[in-house]
Amino acid sequence: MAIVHIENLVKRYGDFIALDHLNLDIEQGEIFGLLGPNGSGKSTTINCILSLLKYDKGTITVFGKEMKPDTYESKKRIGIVQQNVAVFDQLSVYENIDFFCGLYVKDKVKRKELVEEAIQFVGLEDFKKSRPKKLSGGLLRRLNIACGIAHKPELIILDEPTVAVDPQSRNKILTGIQDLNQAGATIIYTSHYMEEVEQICTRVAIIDHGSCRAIGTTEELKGMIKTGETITIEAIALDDGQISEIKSLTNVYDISYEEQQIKIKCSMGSHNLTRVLNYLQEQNISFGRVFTELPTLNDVFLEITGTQLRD
Amino acid sequence: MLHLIKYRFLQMIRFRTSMFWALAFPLILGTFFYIAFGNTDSDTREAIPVAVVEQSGAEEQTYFKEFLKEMDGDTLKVSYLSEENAKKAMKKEEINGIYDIGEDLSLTVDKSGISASILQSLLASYERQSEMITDIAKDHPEKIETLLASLSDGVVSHTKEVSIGAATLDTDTSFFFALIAMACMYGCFLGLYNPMTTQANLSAVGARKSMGAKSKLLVIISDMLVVEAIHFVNVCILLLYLHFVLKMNFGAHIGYILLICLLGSLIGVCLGILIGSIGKMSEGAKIGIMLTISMISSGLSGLFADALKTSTEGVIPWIAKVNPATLIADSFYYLTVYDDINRYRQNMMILAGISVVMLVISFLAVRRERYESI
Repeated sequence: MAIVHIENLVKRYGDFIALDHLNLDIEQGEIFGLLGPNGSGKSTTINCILSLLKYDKGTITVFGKEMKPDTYESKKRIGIVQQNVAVFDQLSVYENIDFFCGLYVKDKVKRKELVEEAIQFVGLEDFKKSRPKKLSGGLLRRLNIACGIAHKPELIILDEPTVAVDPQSRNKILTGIQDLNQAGATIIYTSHYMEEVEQICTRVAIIDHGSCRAIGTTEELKGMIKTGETITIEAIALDDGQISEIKSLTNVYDISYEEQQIKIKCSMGSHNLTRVLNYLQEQNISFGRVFTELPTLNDVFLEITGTQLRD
Repeated sequence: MLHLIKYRFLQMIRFRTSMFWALAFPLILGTFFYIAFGNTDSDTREAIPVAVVEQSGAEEQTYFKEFLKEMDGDTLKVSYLSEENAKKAMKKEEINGIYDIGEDLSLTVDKSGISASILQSLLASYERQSEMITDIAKDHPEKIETLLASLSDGVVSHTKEVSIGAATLDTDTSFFFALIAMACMYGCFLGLYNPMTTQANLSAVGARKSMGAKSKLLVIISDMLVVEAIHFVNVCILLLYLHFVLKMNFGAHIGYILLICLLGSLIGVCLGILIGSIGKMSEGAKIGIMLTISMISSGLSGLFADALKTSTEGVIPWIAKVNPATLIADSFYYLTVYDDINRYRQNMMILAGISVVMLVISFLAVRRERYESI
């Protein structure tokens, strides 16, 4: 049974439809990525799951129970790491984590252990007594995560936790998320950074204009699109005739040529690069660097939604 | 609940801005008042020249004439003149003001300044004493003899005002009562923080707290208890400072005074909670609204000038009956000067009523647990 089940979820802000009959099932033990541009409905979905937002239509169950504001038993099993840092400036690192952990765990001794573990997990041992204002952006994000996961929830929802984070902290956060997953937590991870989603998520849903446009593993998603390989050749001079001839090669379905650089998009198939290089050799066309790329989630997003992820 | 209380307490006492307004600012302002009033002590000041013009109906104002007679000498230099001569004298700056005595009493001054303020303060003081005599004659006729005896002994003056509540207080005390009222109202700076950090649609910490496995009502109640307790202590600290450092005497009704502090701090906290609960304005905008309301309320209770309070009571009397700061300041007055427990009780009930109304409105605003937008 799915840990989170969303069926026909509709959420309107006035005339604007934020979620349009969204359907999702999130299974136990996965790192589930919600990928979409800003305003696509990712955070709205999260807030509906958490029962913070009213919605117009649909059903949401978490751990098999309908999620309501007073479903405390379910809430105890959920951890939330919001997009905005949600800590108290007047409390130290330790106190902040202890406060939020105390909203779920009554036992003082157990809580102390959990707080210490969380501090160790995010690497804030040297900053226990520091106030949030003394922390850098990356450390603050780590504190934000610690506050959300200290009570060892079974379901952790991370809403863009790496926004405005330095690469070092970002890597630590991503590794930490994978560790939490390996320790048994199910993760819902929203982001508009496709590299992150590709790196850590076991399954991804592409959200656009409030509906789920595609869902699957990253490989499955890549398999859904036409692009199998993109060949890029730099420092090459071509005339219109030669471009047309390249376009007619087997598996080539799209070409863009700008400033002596050609990008050849090929559908799935083998020996695409060999065929292109053979043609160039036959025509005695000189060229510079050549490289090929497999499709990325951005290609998937582009093909499925018709827009770039970061447009 | 203890966990919530502990951390709320730590947050609030470390919240420097709010604690400044709720605790430090009234202490500083009180000290300034003390220094300012000390400098205008009648012992070191020359008598203020003032003209008295008798209009029709002046014969009814025998008590005011007596009052002026008491003042004549050290405090005032009184001259009875015709209206025309009085105006001429004021134009030549021979006098600082003109008291018109008719069916009503009024004061005309040519320019503002300490002398004008004192003349206005004297008139306000007299009017308050008249009201006091009328009230006591109506509510406690048995005490009227004590009061009149005190008056005839010359205890009542602009610097020494009679008290039948075991405390002898000068007229400047009214400013300090208004200051205490302002300090109570400034509890709003602490109260504001409650809904702002509890509502998911107002802050990120509010959203995170809303996701906790604790009942929202429990969170609201524990936050409220902490803030009220802290501000009650703040007001008590101010009172202790006024009593032990600035040597103000609050009389013997300690229990009643503590009740004023309790309900006074409650109304300030409730004001903050109410403003924090309604609307999705920025924190700065809410602070602006709160500051405006608390300053107007304190101003009308006599914080800036006793005349403002007196004139407001004359023009819009119902404001004094519902203005929290006036109710607080007057409660001190009724208790320490008038010894009028009935009026004191009435004020306490009105204060409690206003607090309940504000709390109910706030609760209706914050009871939602799901929001239209975040």
